[in-house]
Amino acid sequence: MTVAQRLLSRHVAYLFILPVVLIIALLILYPMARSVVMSFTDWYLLRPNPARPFVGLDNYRDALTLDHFGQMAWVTAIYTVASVAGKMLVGLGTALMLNRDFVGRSIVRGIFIIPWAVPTVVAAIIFRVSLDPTHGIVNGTLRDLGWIQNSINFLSNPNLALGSVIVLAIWKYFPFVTLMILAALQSIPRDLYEAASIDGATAWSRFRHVTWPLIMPVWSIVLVLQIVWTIKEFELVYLVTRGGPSYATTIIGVDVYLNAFRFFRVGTAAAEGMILLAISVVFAIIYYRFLERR
Amino acid sequence: MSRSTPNRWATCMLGLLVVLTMTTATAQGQKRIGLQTWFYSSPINGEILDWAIAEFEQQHPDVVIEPLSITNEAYWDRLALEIVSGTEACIVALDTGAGMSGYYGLRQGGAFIGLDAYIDGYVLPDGTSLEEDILLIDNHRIDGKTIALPYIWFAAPHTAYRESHLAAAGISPEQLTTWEGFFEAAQALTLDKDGDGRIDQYGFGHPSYAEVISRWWHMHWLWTAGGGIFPNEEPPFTADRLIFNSPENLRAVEYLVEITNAAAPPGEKRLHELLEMFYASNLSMVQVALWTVGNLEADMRPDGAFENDLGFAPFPALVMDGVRHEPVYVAWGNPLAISTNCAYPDEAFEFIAFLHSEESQRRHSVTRTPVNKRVLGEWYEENYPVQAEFVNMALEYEMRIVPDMPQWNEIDHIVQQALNSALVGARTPAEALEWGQRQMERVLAR
Repeated sequence: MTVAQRLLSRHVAYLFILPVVLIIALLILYPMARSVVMSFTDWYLLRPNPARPFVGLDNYRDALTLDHFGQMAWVTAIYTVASVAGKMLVGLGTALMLNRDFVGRSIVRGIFIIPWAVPTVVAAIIFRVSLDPTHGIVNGTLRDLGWIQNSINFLSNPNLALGSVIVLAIWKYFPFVTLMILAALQSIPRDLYEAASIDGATAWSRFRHVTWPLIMPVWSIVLVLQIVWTIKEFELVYLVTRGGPSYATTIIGVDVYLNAFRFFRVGTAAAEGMILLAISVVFAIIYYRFLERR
Repeated sequence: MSRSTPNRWATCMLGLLVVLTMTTATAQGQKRIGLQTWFYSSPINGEILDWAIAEFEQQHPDVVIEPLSITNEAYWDRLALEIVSGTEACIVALDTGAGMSGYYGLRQGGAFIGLDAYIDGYVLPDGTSLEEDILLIDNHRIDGKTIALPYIWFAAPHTAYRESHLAAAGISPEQLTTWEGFFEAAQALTLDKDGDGRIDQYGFGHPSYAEVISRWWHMHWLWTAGGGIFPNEEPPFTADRLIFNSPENLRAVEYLVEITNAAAPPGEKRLHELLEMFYASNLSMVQVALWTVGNLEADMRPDGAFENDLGFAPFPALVMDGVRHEPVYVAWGNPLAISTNCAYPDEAFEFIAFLHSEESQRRHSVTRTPVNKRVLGEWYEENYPVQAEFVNMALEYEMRIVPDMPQWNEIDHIVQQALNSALVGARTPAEALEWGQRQMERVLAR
């Protein structure tokens, strides 16, 4: 092959990937770049100024000096850590269970997907109704069992609301983790388990020395995805509590929405979005450092 | 290729050209006017608008009105985005209690055209004069011009009560007309009727969080106690005039917290949940706006409860230190404005004016209060006696509109958060109001 032919073939390769690059640039890179620019400019829609002057770090200062920013950051951290941990552990447990042979396995697998398949708005309504202190099934059952005398205000008690929303988030999203890990489990050759059994490995040893190392790459990728998806959560929390009571469940995603669409402070919302992005990047870096060390 | 093929192609192309020309000519001959409201998404109001559009198009064959179906929940975010993007419909519905100035201010120079030149001297064929016969017409002025024409209006709140519950508890409706009597009644109506240790009838319900509609649920309590956000909610809306942490507001919020703890169902209730409890007879009293009357008629149980078990009392007055503070009601309207981007403002105004005709206003009276005074009188009382009684009762008292300021959404959110934190016990009423005052000062200073 001549040099000209080699160059031509390389250009053809570039041409093949060009559409994808263009789509990514248009739909991801451009909006992201615009958000960065917006976070440094005066984008307050009630001050319609087409010039959108540069305001330096004013939007970041606005966001960081909000009275409730500290609480919001704390709530976001707890929500992310607790719900991701819950989803990963429940997802792993159910995947291991569903990987065993039992009668009706395919039906049970289908049932486990339901929470993930239910639209978020439907899940939020079901959850609100179920936890209602007056007519909800959860309080009714607890009272009928004699475990409680007075109804528990799951969603209106500032001390319980966040925990309740975290439980919903785990219930709603763990099937995705289950699916991913189940796929990884099914790719593990049976021979390895048989060999381990012949060597006298216990169930725990088989999990620790055979299963875990082989599903670990998938589990890790799902973990990072879950962190990134959860940290920017909005709709589930907004639909259930709208961030209340008294900011007890206000995660940063909810405030981004309020600032951008209700208060027209697009610059501040963009700054909050950038802060979320920075936190996500930190998690990604920690994860990749961890992988490198391994 | 046969010789006839090019001819066939030419014939096809010619045919296509003729069709395209005709289509374009038709499109050019028609003036398409978008109508952006949340009313259209409701079946009853959608039907009324369909009638109005059909009638209007019959009278104006060159105009096509294209209504958009957007739910109330999605409406305001979408309107803001569309105004900013310049893609809003020609006619848009606004709300005097939802930051009209804010939406107007989203475009440099204003998002809506001035309507004064259209309104001056305009008389509909049925004799309705827009200048003289339309209520609240002066409440829609920004930058010295009328930017929207009121089309329907509402007043809130009265106390709706279950007559049978009051009778069983030996409470007269007159007792509900003062804060003290109302409190005692709410307490007496909170009952464990079957003796199983659980409350199954609550005396009073108040939504502790109702985003965008603080005006329906909180403001009249503050106003009746003599407080509010600014004195009488009159401009200028500056930080130094804020009275949110005033003793009057504190009195109102303390009362709300006390009555909520004593007689309201536990937990954070939303409006539809409270109404459902009232329909099912698990709640004895709830405060309602005019539009709720239609819902009560449709949903109160058992059958016949609307006719036989529903009573209305005026919002209670506050008697404090021997002085009676009469109730202050909240009023708001849903006016229609014309976008500065509208290609056919004259025709758009014609349609808005048509919606104020007597016939159109009569049809709209099913769920709303007409703004045409010629309809609001005798005809309304004859055809909608319950609604008319409701409106007449409200008209006896002062009615206010929440401050129309560009930052209203933010201020409204703060009112909600402050009262919510007091009602769920996260802050004391004093702390909640102080927090709210600080937040409002911050918003107005930015």
